[in-house]
Amino acid sequence: MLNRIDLHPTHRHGEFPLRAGKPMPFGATLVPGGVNFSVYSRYATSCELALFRKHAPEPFAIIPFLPEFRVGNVFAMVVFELDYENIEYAYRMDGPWDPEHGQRFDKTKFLLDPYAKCIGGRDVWGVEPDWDNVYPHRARVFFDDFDWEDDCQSDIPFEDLVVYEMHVRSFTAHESAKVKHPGTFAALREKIPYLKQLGINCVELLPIHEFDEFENSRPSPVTGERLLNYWGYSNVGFFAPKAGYAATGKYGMQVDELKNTIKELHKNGIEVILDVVFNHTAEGNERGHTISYRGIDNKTYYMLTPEGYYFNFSGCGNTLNCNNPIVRNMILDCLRYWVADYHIDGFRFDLAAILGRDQNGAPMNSPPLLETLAFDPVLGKCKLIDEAWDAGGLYQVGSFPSWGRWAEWNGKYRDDIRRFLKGEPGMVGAIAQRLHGSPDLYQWQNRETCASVNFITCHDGFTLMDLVSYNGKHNEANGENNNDGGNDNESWNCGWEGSSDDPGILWLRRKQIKNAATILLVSQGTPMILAGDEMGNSQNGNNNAYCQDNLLSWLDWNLLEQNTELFRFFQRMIAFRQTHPALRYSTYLSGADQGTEVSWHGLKAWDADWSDSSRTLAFMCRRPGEQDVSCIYVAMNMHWDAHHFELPSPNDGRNWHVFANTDVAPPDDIVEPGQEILLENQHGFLVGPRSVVVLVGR
Amino acid sequence: MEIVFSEHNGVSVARITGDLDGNTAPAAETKILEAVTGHELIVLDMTECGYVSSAGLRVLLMLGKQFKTQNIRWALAGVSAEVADVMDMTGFSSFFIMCPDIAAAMQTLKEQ
Amino acid sequence: METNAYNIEMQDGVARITLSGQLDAARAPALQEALKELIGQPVEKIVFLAKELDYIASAGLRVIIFAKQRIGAGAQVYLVGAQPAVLDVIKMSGLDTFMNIQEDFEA
Repeated sequence: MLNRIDLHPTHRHGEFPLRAGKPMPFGATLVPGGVNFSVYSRYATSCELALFRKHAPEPFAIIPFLPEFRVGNVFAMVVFELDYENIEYAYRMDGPWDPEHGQRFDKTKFLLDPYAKCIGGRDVWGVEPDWDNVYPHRARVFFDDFDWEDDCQSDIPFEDLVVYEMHVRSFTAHESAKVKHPGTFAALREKIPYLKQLGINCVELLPIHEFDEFENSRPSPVTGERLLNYWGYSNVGFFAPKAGYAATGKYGMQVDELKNTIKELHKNGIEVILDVVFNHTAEGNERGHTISYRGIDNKTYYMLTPEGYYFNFSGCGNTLNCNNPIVRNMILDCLRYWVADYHIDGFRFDLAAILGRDQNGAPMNSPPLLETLAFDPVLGKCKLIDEAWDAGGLYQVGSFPSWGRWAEWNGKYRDDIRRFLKGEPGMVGAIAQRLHGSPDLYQWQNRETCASVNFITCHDGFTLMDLVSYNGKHNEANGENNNDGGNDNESWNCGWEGSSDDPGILWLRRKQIKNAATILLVSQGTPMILAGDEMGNSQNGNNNAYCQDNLLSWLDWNLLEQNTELFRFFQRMIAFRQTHPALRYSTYLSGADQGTEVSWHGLKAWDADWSDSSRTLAFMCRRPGEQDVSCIYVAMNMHWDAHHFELPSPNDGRNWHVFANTDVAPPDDIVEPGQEILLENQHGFLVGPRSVVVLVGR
Repeated sequence: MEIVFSEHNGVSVARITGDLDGNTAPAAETKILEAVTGHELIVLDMTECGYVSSAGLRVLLMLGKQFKTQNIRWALAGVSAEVADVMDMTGFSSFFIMCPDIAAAMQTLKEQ
Repeated sequence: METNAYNIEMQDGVARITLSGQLDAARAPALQEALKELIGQPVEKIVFLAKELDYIASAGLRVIIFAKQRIGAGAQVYLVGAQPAVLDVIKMSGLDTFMNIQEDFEA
């Protein structure tokens, strides 16, 4: 190989040979003999590179970008002979201080590179930081090679996906998890056999980009314990994994640890979706800390009011200026990086409605960012999932601009199923839509069933156990006088608020959990399960545990033994779904060919009760599978009395067999798929109070 | 960092003394590759290697790849608990055969 | 491949590099490796004797620049006796400005 002729020093600063760098790519890139540093700022008048030895309080070198190192609005320079493994770098930028016009330059601040791919400073989770550190979040240079061997994107279709939403730390931080390095990516790797056993094929991770768990930390008024920014919906850096989630964070090897975890998940047929937060950053409003963007180019990165204050559509102090071309490109670069370098299979966009607002905050018809992501070649096979609302009041479930590419968290599914579950009348019409993949929401946009990510619970709100144990939220431990968290939970405590030892109440709660699991897993679309729901995990009624890094959030694995019946129920329901193509249509079912695809029933066959007082609904769906026609009948009785459902015929000489009946005590509540028991009376079934029955025709 | 090569019963042993990091790793790779050409069994004796950085890990992985293409069987001996832990946490440990000492490593290689 | 596509002699601060045949992407790397031997030596003049050089490709031009950059910023570069075709390439690519182009070379 020939050596390059543009990689020799032309300048020198102290001990460091330098030369003009390449403006692209942004960030710090290893080049032969040195590191190429490139950073954008439109309004900075000058820029300096500060080099720190790892963890050192003061920089050991400050190297100015010479005028000839500037291309357009980019400062770019190669520094040679750097011991790149043992340094941290920052920028300092000079420019106008004029907040009324959006300019907030301060040449004394050490600024984090927005493109930093490895960030130190919070290396070990929960270790009290040095509050006087002049550079708290420290960019590092990382040799980002990795041998993926034959790993490739698995590309499981949406309709075949069963998503499991988890917080990396909560999943294994509890001692009962019995892992070597609790609360880390390495521990998640250790738990892969469990995920396989449960049968899910996709994990959706709450934010794993670098964030500061100490942002807004404070003591709890109830327990005195320190409350942290535990969920991490507040980015410090978009390109770097959370060091505190890596057992090797203290060695700066979080990148390798995460990549190997993803590689191992893929080897086991499990996709990885990241929850990404592009709506705001950790810098807060005008009273917040300057970490990076504000000091580099406040006007570019944030949506500002005409007076220079921060718009707050995120509810978190500031709003990232997503449809500014620079920010849009940064988001695109970021997502491409996670797909190309980390083999991520998809993204869930937090408060994605913000991504469709223009630079003044108004919702746009065809937001350029969303369109760009929908058509980007690198993201071409990756799953894009939006949370179609924001804290500024924009609610776009069903109307989010999708270009047929975006799926979304179906908030209406959650709300309607919860109301139906607790026995609210007048829900059956909506429930038919929800079970069907919500064509009422998506069909007009030419979206299909796969647009709908169905969930009853997620990290934000009650756990499933709490949904059936509490009428109201109990968030006192969050220190906000129980004012935080949603109030419209549509939950029902089954007769007693909170923990109970009444066998009748406990029985009903378990049955309601099974009802929920059944409805979720027989719905068309993509089911999403909140980690821990399969073992009856509770947060003691806290529906917003965003700050609770303690037993309240940590998954107690002892529950797996106590609630074996729940785990087994989930496991078999998932296996059942995967066995039956009839539950996994990728396009909307047509009711025109009655009986061949889907048909609706009630207490009488072929005659669903759509009236306002109805709490009963049944459906039959059929689809030819590889070996056999899959034919399924599901009866849902959310009334407090038992009801007799007349059964339609499964046709073709088939007979109904019972797969699940939530009104029956375990172990007879559910069987292994394929082991269904022939029903004696083929013409009717007495469905117990608040119960769901699943039959298979064969 | 220093590497001393020796031979025991047809096994080439490279003893690494000092840290394996960004400063020493590239030289270590070259030296080891040169010295072991023509051998079929190799033990990297890590007893005196106290620290392996990210760049150090990469060199071990690279060596592994190159040995594999040359049909060389190899093992690590005497990896410290801390270094082994790092390999474990990053998820790289499955790429290595690790033995407590040279004798055990030689035994393992010969039994393969 | 032709052998002896180049020859390097070093004497009294003058490096004489005799080129012949074709200096293209296939041959340039070997020349570059050989030139690296000169790095650190007190070279005042780098003289490319190009009378026998029939063809120079972009890779060859890079080696000349590389030599200038790495062997010594203070060293003078000479191109001696280049054939018209080679000279044309050198002129078109603008490299003539940093070399002394001569018919003969007397140290």
